Amino acid sequence: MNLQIDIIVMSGVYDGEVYTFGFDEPNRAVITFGREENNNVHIATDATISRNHATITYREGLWWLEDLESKNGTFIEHHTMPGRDIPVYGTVQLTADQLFRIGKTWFRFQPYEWHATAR
Amino acid sequence: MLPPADRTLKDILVLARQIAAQQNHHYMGTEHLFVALAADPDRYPHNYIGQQGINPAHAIAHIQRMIEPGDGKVLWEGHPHSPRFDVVLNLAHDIALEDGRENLVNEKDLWEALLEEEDNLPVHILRRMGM
Repeated sequence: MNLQIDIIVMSGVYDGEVYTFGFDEPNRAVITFGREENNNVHIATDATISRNHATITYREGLWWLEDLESKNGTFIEHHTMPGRDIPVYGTVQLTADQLFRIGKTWFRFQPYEWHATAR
Repeated sequence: MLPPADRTLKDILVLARQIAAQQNHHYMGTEHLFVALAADPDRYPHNYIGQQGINPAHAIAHIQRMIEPGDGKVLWEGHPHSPRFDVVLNLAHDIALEDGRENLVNEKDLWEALLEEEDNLPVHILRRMGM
């Protein structure tokens, strides 16, 4: 099984940029977020993002968002009350089209998966 | 009947920039464009939202809660547009061009472009509110 996810920036000066990641081995699917350049998604223009802020990982068929004890927190969108963001304590499951916020920057999570055709 | 939509692109961009400045944002994004378009109760976008059964003031409040004010630090030069803002502007130019109005983008074109781009945060919020 191959996995691909798009992380779409939804706010700030980079709003509209898309980060695309592909994984041949699902158990190695990890995406890191932070202000440091060694992160897969590094947003240097948001000072509220910690150097190593959060990760998205794939485990047992599900995607998980984890806050790495960041200073300003990681949040997911409240579906019925926009603006009442739900803080992520530890790890939460992400679903397709989920909006989440790291520091002050909003992102949208868009996963795809497919099975490689045997040749 | 919806009110006229004859504010020019320049009118809207000046207003959006003022809104960005009030938020301490040193860039122009679709959230600023949305507020510039939707805040005036005598204008087309405000009434369009109202006709969808959504209170435009509530939609603006939601957006402003989600996009927090900046902290005053400027980490880049100038006052850039976000990539999505430029996509919306290009779409608005295309809409005007299709209507035979080259370089005469108005607020209705901008509003329709914002809806057509559809992945921006303001439209996401409007969908959450039932549009």
